[in-house]
Formats: sequence, C-alpha cells, structure tokens
Amino acid sequence: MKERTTRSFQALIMAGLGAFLLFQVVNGGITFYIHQRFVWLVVVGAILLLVIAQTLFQSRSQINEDDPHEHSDGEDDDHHHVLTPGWVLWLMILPVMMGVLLPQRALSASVIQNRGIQTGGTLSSNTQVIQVQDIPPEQRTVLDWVRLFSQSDTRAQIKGQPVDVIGFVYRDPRLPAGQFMVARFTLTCCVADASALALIVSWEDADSLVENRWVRVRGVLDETLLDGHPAPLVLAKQVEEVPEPSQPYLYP
Amino acid sequence: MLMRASKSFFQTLPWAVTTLLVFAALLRFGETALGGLPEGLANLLETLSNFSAVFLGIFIEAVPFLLLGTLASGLVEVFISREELVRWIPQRGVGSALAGSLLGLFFPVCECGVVPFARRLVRKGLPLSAGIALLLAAPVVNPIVIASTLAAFGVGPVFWGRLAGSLLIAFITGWIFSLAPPQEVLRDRSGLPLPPVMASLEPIAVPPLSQRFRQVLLIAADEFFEMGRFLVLGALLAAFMQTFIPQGGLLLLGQGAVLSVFVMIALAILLSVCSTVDAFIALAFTGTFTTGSILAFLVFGPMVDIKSTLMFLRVFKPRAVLYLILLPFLMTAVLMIGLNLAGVWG
Repeated sequence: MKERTTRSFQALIMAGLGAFLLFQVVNGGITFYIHQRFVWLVVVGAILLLVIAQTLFQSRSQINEDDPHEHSDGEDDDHHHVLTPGWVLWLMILPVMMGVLLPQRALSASVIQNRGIQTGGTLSSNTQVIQVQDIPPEQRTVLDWVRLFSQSDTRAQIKGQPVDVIGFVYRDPRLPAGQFMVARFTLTCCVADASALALIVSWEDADSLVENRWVRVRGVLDETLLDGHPAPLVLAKQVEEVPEPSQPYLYP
Repeated sequence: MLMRASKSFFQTLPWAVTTLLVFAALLRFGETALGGLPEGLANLLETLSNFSAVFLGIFIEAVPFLLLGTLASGLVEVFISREELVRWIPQRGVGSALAGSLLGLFFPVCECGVVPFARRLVRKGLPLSAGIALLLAAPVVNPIVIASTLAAFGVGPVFWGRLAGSLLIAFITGWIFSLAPPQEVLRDRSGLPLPPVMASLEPIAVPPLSQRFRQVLLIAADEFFEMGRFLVLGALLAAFMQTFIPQGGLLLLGQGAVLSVFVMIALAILLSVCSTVDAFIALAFTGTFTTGSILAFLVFGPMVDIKSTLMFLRVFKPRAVLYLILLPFLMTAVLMIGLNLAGVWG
C-alpha cells in the first residue's frame, strides 16, 4: 500500500472511531459500556481522534510518492515506524463494526453463568454501610440491601423492613421452585469488571417470570440460606414487569 | 517459525471476527424480520452481544489514555532537546540508575515508545544504567499510566504496589547493568539506522510552530495504530475469556499463591497490552486472581512482552536481552509470590 492510501485509511478509521464515540455519548449508549464518571474522557478522546484525522487528511497532499524511503508493503518486523499494514487497519475498524453490527445491550443474565453472583459477602467498608443506613428502606437499591446484609450487625436490624427494588430476573439453578433472583450488575470502571448482585425473591408466580426481564419487586426482607450461607430473601407481595431503566448498572 | 505462525494468525484474525460479526448482524436482522429466533440462536446472539459489551467496555475506556500517551510521545519527540536533559543526569552508579528510573515522570512514553526513546538518549550520552532503568520503569512510572492505574484501581495496594515494584526492579536492573561495559550490551551502532519518521526530525533547521504541531499529531497517529493493535487484540482475548470460559476453571489457576503469579506473567507476555491501558484489562481478573498475580501482570507486563522483546533484540546484544528479561522476571516472581504467601493483602 502506498503511503497516501495508508494515510487515507488511517484518517478514515480515526474519524469513524471519533464519530462513533461521540454518537454513543449523545444517545446515551456509552453507559452500557463504561462508568459515568469517565464519559468526559471519552469526549476528549473523540475530539482528539477527529483532530488527528483532519491532520492526516491534510498531510496527504504533502506526501511525495516518488521518495524511495516511503515504499514499504507493511512488513513491520524490522522497523518501528513504517506504514501501518493492512490487517492492522482492519483490526482497528473492528470496534466500530462491533458497535454497529451487534445489538447494543447492557450485560445480561447469561454472563452470570460464567462470573457467578453475590448475595452477600464483604464488598463494602463500614462507612459505606453507615451511609446506606440513612437511606429510607423503600429507596434502597439491590446494592444497598446487599451491603447492609453483608454486615452481621446491620443484618439483624433490616429484617422485616419494607423492600421496593427493581432489577432483572435471574433464575439461579440452586433455587427451589417459587423463588428467583432480582439482580443488578455493578461497575467500578467498565463492563470488564462488572459483578452481579442479587436478592432472592420468594413469590408464588415466580415460575411465570422470564429471565432477563426487568421487574419491580415489593415485599418484606427476610433471611434464607444459599449454599449454607445466609442470604437476603424478599417475601414478595407484588412483582410487576417494568421497562429496562436507561441506566442499567449500579455504581458502588 | 513461531513468529511466522503467530503472525499469520493475527493477520487472519480480523477476517474471522468480521465473519462472526456479519453472521451476528444477519441473526439480528432475522430476529426483527421474523419476530423471534429459535432458542439456540437467540442465546448465541445474547452471548455475542455480551462479548461485544465487554470488548467495547475495555476498548472505549482505554482509547483516551492511549491517545494521550501517543500525543505525549509526539510532543517529547518534537519539542524536547535531549542534550539539555542529559546534563542533569548523574553519570554513573546508583545515582544514574535512580535518575533513569524516575525519568519517566517527565517523559510519558509507554513501552512501545520507550525503546527507541531510551536508545536515543543513550546515544546522546545518557549512562547505560540510567538508560536501562528508564527502559524498564518509564512505561509505568509516568503521569499517564499513574492516572490510568488510579482510574482503574483507586488508591490502594495495587496502585502503590505497582509503582514501588516497578521502581525497585528497574533500579536494581539498571544498577546491575552499570557493571557491564556498554560495548558488550549494545549492538553495533552503525547497523541501527534511525526510523524514517525520527530521522526526519533531526533538527537541521527549526520548522515553524504549526509545522511542528502537525508533526506531533502525525507521530501520534502512527503510534495509535502501532499500539492500538495490541489493545484490540488484548481486549478481544479478555472479552473472549470473560464470555466463554467459566470462572470456575480460572479460579483453580487464579487462587494459588504461586501458580497465579506465573499464569499472570505468562498472560502479560502473551497479551502485550500497552501499559497505558493494561490496568483496565487487569481489572477484569481481580476477584478471580490473587492480588500478587495482578501486580505481577502490572509490573512485569510493561517491562517485557512479545513486542518489547522484539524491539530489545534490535538494540541490544542477545545476552543482554536475556538479562533484561530474566532479571525482571525473577524479581517480579519472587516479590509477588512472597507478598502472596505473606498474606499482606488482608
């Protein structure tokens, strides 16, 4: 490939990537992938990409194709700075192609089979638990409840409190009939570190629910055993389907 | 042999992934057109979109940092006079190794840029021990990588461990190299032409400022493609492992105090992810792997991997390259296994 052609492709790829990122920020899809607090960085990155692409376009007119130095077929083994080989250009289009060709969805329940799911455990510090205690019970999220439940002293206090949470349905194979999990993913940085949290829900029509659908669960908090460890259980009074929230993840 | 085979694998990879994506797009079209898919195909589509979410998560998170790194590297190339700098560096022994390992704080280059950069500094009179320490420490101990590690892990044992471990290992290796005469370490200099982009930057006459900024952006573009490929490959592998390999199996590898460290070192070599973004990839392994092994990945990976070894071989004699790989390897392994066994992570 001639240098002029390579530069054109580089410019196109960088401009495409920049436009893709900006589009994701504008339509809100970006929060399917990364934590909200990094969105401004993505905007900076997208603008840089567009500026560099513009410079690449302009620089093409100054390329002298007859210069013997510039000819290379992209074999990059013996030099650091040579023209980018074709397969690398293609590789760099993949992120945009993936974003365009595949449905853009938040992580779904099938990930849990690989990663596991938490209903308790030591995932937060004491100060966080104390802050969560100040939230009225009806406004607590799945994450808040799991946090409170993970500390043995707060566990006793929250029993019997009213629960009103939303999450997606996950059918854990360890659960008996008449129970399901209402689950959320939490992100600290991006989807790669997402972990699933859930409350177990006991509800007479549990078997009629479809996995991955979003539901609002109202009931009273109780306790059960999962794999021999205490786990939070919601005795549901009402379970209704709701649309997926625009922000599907929780941020610890 | 291995190089050739792996190269043809990487060259086919974009095609393979593209085919898969087109297939997924067809499935998605079928889903809308038919109003549903057979259960097996629907599950496949769900798995693929989870794969894509993890891949794009890593990639999008890392791209701004990669861009900042390439820009910084371009700025250093075009605007900093190295002769000036060399005057400030102690010329031998402990002092020069220490100075070399801290030099990255002022020159944010990641491991892809550091090899030509260090070579250039050594040619202009930087002591070899400082050059080696710079080579090993600069990819981690620099503002951009410090920021990305902070973004990924926050202030905590991983953050401090990465900085301290990298500094310590780079300093000791640089110090050891100060005992060797430079002609036994560096390859014949006449056989090392400067790359075209850098050669064109030899300051014959200082071009106007706008021209120099343009040059910075062009270097940044080249480096973006030079290093971006390793980011895409690394993110593909990480997303593949997260989506298709049950963590139960990984847990067996990841929880042993000794084994986990070697597994993560091997992974660091294989992935060859740029140090500006490797923190985000490492994040995917926290929870399944021991903290010591995560640290081994973050400390050793920027020093030695497939791509930097190739670059080492062009600059140093083979025996020197062997030491450059073995010394950091042994120190990382001993340090991290020791920390794991001591149970310092709580």
